[in-house]
Parts: sequence; C-alpha cells; structure tokens
Amino acid sequence: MRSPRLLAALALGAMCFPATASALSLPAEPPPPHRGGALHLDRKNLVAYVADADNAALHRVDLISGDVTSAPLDCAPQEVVAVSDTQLAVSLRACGKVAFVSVAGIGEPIVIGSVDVPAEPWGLAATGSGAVLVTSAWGRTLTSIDASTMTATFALDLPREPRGVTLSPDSRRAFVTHAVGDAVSIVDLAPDAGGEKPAVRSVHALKGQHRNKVDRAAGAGTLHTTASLSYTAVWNERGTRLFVPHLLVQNGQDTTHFIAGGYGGVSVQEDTGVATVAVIAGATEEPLAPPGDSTAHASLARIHSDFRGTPAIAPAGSPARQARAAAVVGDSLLVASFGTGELVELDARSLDPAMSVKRRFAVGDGPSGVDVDPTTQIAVVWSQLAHDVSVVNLGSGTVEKIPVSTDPLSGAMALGRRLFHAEGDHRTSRDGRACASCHPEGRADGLVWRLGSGARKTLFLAGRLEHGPYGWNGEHPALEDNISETISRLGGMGLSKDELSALALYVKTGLEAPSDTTVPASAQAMVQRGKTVFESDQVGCVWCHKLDQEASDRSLHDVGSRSKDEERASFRTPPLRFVSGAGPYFHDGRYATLEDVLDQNLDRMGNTTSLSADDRTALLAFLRSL
Amino acid sequence: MKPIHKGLLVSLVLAAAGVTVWSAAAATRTDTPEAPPAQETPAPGSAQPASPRELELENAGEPVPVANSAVDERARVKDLLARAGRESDALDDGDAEPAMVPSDLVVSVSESPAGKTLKVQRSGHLLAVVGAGERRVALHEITLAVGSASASELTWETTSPRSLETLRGKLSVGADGKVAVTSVVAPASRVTDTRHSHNCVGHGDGAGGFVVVCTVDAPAAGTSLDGDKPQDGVWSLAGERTLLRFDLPMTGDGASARVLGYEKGGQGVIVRIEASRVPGEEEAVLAIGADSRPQPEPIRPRCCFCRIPRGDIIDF
Repeated sequence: MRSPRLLAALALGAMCFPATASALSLPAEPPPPHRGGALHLDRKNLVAYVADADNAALHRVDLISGDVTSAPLDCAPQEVVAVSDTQLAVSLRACGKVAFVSVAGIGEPIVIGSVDVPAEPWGLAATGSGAVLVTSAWGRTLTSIDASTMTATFALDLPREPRGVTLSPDSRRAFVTHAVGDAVSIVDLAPDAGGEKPAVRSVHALKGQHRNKVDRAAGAGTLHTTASLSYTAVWNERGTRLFVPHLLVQNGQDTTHFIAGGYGGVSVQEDTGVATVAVIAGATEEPLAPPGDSTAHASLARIHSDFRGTPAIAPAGSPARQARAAAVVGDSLLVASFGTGELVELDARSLDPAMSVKRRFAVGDGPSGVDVDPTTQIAVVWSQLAHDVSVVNLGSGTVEKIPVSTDPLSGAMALGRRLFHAEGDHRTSRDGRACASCHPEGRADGLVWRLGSGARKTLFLAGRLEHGPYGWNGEHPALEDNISETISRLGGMGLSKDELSALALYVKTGLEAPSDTTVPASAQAMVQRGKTVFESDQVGCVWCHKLDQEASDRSLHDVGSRSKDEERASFRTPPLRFVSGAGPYFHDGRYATLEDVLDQNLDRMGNTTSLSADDRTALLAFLRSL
Repeated sequence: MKPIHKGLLVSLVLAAAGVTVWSAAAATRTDTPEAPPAQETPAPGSAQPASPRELELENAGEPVPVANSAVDERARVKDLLARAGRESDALDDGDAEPAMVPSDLVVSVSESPAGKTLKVQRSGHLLAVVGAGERRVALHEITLAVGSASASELTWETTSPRSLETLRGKLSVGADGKVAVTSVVAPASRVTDTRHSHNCVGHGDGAGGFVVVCTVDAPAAGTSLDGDKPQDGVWSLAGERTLLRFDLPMTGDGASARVLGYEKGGQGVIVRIEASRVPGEEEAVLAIGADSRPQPEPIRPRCCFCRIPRGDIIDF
C-alpha cells in the first residue's frame, strides 16, 4: 500500500502538468519517449524496471516503497523498453533473444516468451503499434518483431557494432547509433514507394562540425576527424532535434601536440578525444552547425599567445563519458555517464550540448539507463556497477539511492571492471581516458593511433587474451606487464600490483566475447570449404594461425609489414578469433577490410594469390566465422 | 512488504513541488545554476515573486514533512505552484510593458544634395540602427544615409554598457524629412551568462533572431562562425575591458554562432553564442555557454574586429 501523502503529491504533480507543458511549449501530439537504456520508468505508478546484466534479471523497483521484485532471465540483459502498459521487451545480449515480460499488477514481472535474434541484441525501440525494433551488436542487424505474435517480421543488415535505436516521432524512421565510426544509420521503415522493403542509409553526422569550428576559432590545434562510442540517441520533447552523445576523436598523425614551456616547463599533451553531442535536425537529417568554411575563422577569437605559434588548449567539453543512455526534459539533456558514475545535465538548446554543462549528479557507478518523469521532475537512473537505482530530484538537485541487487562478481573482478571503465583516472592515462574509451565492451573502436611507437590500431581484446605472450612484438609474457606498458605509453601514473592483477583478470576473463558465431545453415558448406582452404598445405594459413589458440601461434614473424618508421620487422601472429569485428587490419591498420588483406597479401602470409575466386570467397567466409 | 522508503518519499514529494520550481526556472533561468536569475521587474501591481533560487532553498531547507496530512501537503504544494506561476507570468518574454522613448535619445535628419542623412544620438550608449539593408553599430551616435525619398522604417536600439539594459524602438523618415520615433517593447532578457569574467545578455531582435551584448573584464576578441566573413555580426570595443555586440539574425531554419575568447588569470575562456531553428520549430532558440581551461601562456591583447569607433571611449 502506498503512502497517501505521496499519492497526494503525485496528484498535484498531475494537476500542474498542463502548466508545465505550457511553459515548456510541448507539442500537441504525444512526445516521443524520454528514456534510454537499461531502465524503463512506469510514470503512472512510479515504478522502475531495470535490466540487470550481472544478475540476469529484470527488477521491478517501486520508487515509493523501495520494494524490489525480480524476474530471472535466461541470460544477461542489456536494455528494456515498454511495448504497452502491461508488457515490456528486454534484449538478452548474452543469449541472442528478446524476451517479452508481463508487468500487469504489482507482483513480480513474468517472462511470457522470447524471440531468437542475431547475436548480441542490444538497443530496443517500440513503435507504439506493437512492433519492437532491436539492434544486434555482433550480428550487425536490425530486427523487427511483432510483439503480439512474438515473431520476427524482418531483419536488415547494419554497419559494424550497432548499439542504440530510437524512432522518429512518426515512427517512419529508425535511427541507429554505433560504437564504431562517425555515422548514424537511418532506416526508412515505411518507404513511400509502395512495396519497397525498409532500407538502411548511413549519415556521417558525428564529425564534430561545430566543435571543430569553435576549437579553430579559439586557436586550438585540434582537429577531431572521426568518432566512436555512440551508444544512444534521444529526441527533444518536440521531436525536432535528435541528440547523439559520442566521443569525438583526433587520431592519426596529429594525435598529440605539445605546448612548449607550458606549466612550468612540463609539456602539455592535448586531449585527443572529447565527449560531445551531435544535434541532428530530424527533418533534414543534417547535424546543426553554422554554415560555411571553418578555415576562415582560425584563431580569430583565440585565447592564447601567438608566441612561436603555440596553440591554445581547447575547452574539455562534457564530462559525460561512455554515454550509455540519455533522456530529455524541457531544455535539459540528461546523459548517463557510465565512465564517471554521473548523470550530466546539458543545455539542450546548444549546438553542442556537451560544451554547455548545467549540472552533474553523482549517481551509482556505471549508469546504463535513465528515464524521466516530467510531471514530478525526477530522473531515475540504473547503475549497473553499483546495482542501485538513483532518483534524482531535478528541482532540488538531491539524489536518493535504492539498493536493488548485489554484485555477483568477485572483489578482484569487480575492481578490474571498475578500473577498465573508470574515466578521469590519471593512473591509467594522462588525459584520463579509460580502457573502455578505445575498447568498448573489450572490442575495438576501429581507429589507428600514434602513441610513441608508430601507428597502432586499437586491439580487439574480448576472448582473445587467454594465451600469451602479449604486445605487438610479443615482448610481455604476462598480461599485467603488457597492461603496465600500455598505461605508461598513455602517460598514466601507474597502478598498484593488486590493481594490475585485477585489471588483467577482468580483461582476460571478464570481458564478454561475442556470444554467438554460429554459422547459418545456408553458409555452412561455404565456411567448411573455407576451412579446408585455410588448413591446406598449399595455402598454409594454419601454419601460424593455430586454430586451437585463438588462431595464433603467438610467435613472431616477419611478413614484410614493417613501415619505414618502424624499428622492428617481426610481429606476433595476431589471433584471428573474431577477426570480422577487429578491423582495420595489420598493426598499423593499413587495410580496411579482409578483402584488402588478401588482395595485398602477395603470398607473404600463406599462398593466397593463386586461390580461385570461389576458394577466396570461401576463405573469407571462414575467416568471418571465427 | 518493506516499510515505506522515507527518503524517497520525501524526494518524490519535493519533486512534485519542484516541478513548479523547474517550470519557472526553465522560463527564466540563466545558463548556469550558479549564475543569478535574469534581472526583471515584476508587472505593476503583481506580488513580488519568489526567485527560483529562493524556492529551491525553501524546498531544501524545510523539515521533512513526514507527519503532515495530505491536505497540508496539497496546500503547501499549491502555494508553491501559485508563487512560481506568478513568477513565470511576470517574466514571460515579450510581455513587458512598452518603454518610453528615452529623453536623451536624439534623432535628426539633415538634407543635402546627396540625400537625407539620419543621425541617432544617445551619449554613453551603444547604438544600433537596423533596417533597409543596413545594420549600423556605434557608440554615442550613428549617421546613416537614408536616400532622397525614403520612408523606411528602421529599428533603433540603445544599450547601456554598464547595465547592458537595452531599449528598442522604431523610427521612420518621411519623404518630407520628418522623422517619427516610437518605442516598441523593451526586449526582455532571454539568456544571461555571467560566469568567469564576462557578462553577456541576449534578447530577441524582434525579427526572429537575437542580439547579445557582452562586457568582458579582460582583453577579448570575438568572431562569427557563419559563412566566410568572420566579422559578420560582430562589433567590439577592445581595451582593458571589452564591449562586444553580436547580432544573430535568423531568417529561416539553420544555425548561427559567434564565439568570444579571452584569457584571464591563466584561464582561457571560450563563450559560445548560438542561435538555431530546425524544421518544425516555430521560433529560434538562443543558447549562451562558456567553458574554460588553464592556458600555458598569457594572451597578448588584440582586437580582431574593432568596428565600434574608438573615439570618445566611454567608461563602462
């Protein structure tokens, strides 16, 4: 039974909602959902439903009483979305399903069925007409499910590492974010041309058009050319602007620059990644930015001396890192910052809200879901690492926490996970970047960096670290040593021995490898033929890529891949497990695709030039199945 | 069943009250929580409203009302609602009373064979005259050729460099050389930003765009980020203190932005002034944001677009 006082307060909240709507100029039509991620808020009853990946459960959290009831799930969930007032959909990342859960009444949620979808279902959106859209991170698909019959109606191929999905207010388009790259995928769900199937377009909207202009005008020496870690997208209340938090990245040759004589003689390294938010006009699908050529404005509002051409230090931008979820209320964009354990309130009116921080609320570690109630002006946050729900009063700024579940991980594993994701920890990097900034979920961001020893691509870690030695040149027998060297290269102050052990334990055994690489029946013959090619003496791939050791003999080989600025010619054989998601290829990322690798191989790594077209196709199919 | 979660209960109760706080704040508050609310004068005869900060403090400081009845709570929340509602009404942009034409504003027209010349004077103020394809900004006075047979209607603005209070009106020059001056509506401040060493006040320009006037307690420079003409819509008077005016006219959908940069005390500050409107929105929105970062070297004062005449510099 609920408190009569609370009911009174909520009733008053409902009474005042029309005034609020007027003040905020809400549209006449129903606004799009305000939520995102691993939490759904039943605003009517003030009940939060959270997808708890660590405990493989869906929790029902009564915000009034603090009561928690739980429904076990088949495996670790990722996100949750409301299909109707009485039904939720939950993406089960670890077992390739979308579960449907009845939430009628005040009892525990009841799983009523599930649908198999491609590997690693992640983001969810509900159309309002009974359809649920789900992205598959490893499966690279968008699947539509009819919730009433619990059957998949169509599946579309998407670019690499899709994450969040949100629908336009008219439900005619779906916007999909990606952990890799600077594009947002837009799916036309209802093409105007009759009979056409839904189609996918890539819009390169995450290129920092406005941020780069501001930095250039300030005289900063940055040029962020690409992006990563786009987990979520959320509409403003009018449904006219789509906010896409992500990491804007400066990599390549100009990754770093140094301010001579800065800070008492200590050189200063510029940040190479800034958390930013793209604002995309829903109607035009264009990012909001002033028109024109940015080069015309260089240094005209500079904030530095022009002594010896010294560049300025660009403003840092948003503290919201690894933004797993977001919600909007009024002129505020609320971003769940997984890497800092905060809910960050940004100015939704800005061209780059990440540069207009209003407030920061300390919530539990690892926030991965946020929803808001405009009536009572609360934001509700689920924190996966802390296993609690935070209720943020946006009026007073107070934060109340409700313990929901316990952490099943061991102390060392939990510590390792926190270290892996912790942003702003200068023990692991000079600029505070976390391991997860470049290795989202232990995968690779697809970028190439210059960090002191030539160009190096980001490594795919999950499920590929069981066997040593480690390092591009196999120089570290122990993973701890390799991590320590990486931290040193990033300018970090270093971790204690216990922390290093914990971090090594987590990256070796705690990161979730892609859960399902099952080959479809239609492709099995081709994959088997490719395996035969791979293992054949004529081609010889298997000589170095031992299939029982993550497809690597872990030995050094000189395959003629040394660049002119490289000191060493021999590199450790890279594991081929999960190679389809590990591009670009070679240590310096010189090849964008596996096709490029074979085309440019010139028999340096196995005799592939004489392969027939069919054998080549089969070999590629086999590699992608690893 | 577990006992009632009292902390949450209080949070939710306060949140229900907080909605009014937020509504009022959303309509009037500055870009930063630490900045003071916009300075406004309540409508004549209305009760003095509580400021959003007062309401917040009141909420935060009151005893936890766990023993009160629902009726008491209803009354309390309704009272907060009513007070915030009054404030919201009083501060609603565009509802301000028409201001009087300032007595020291002098507008005159002289004629020569080349045509009529309009002179607008108000000593000690930053003046702007906009219209008929012209956009002039100057201190103290503006002269503007208005043609031989013009009956153009122009907009005048005067801004006090000290208070940044802006008055606006219309003026027209008849074919007979007579000039009519009216005061329209004193533009209400929409956005203010007073962090670091700057004070910026932005308001609607009456034509869908915005005007932002800033003073900076340091040498500063500004630029437009639009198009390929960095000086468009930027005027500054640089010195130890800097006065800047940024015009962001909005004629349709899109974005317009200006940037102001300065360094003080080892901190580099970037102020971003942004107007935008996208399809489906009735009007453009203005945002002013600022960010800072320690800078390794001091700035050497430089004025990029000192387009405000430097003669007879005023103290502001």
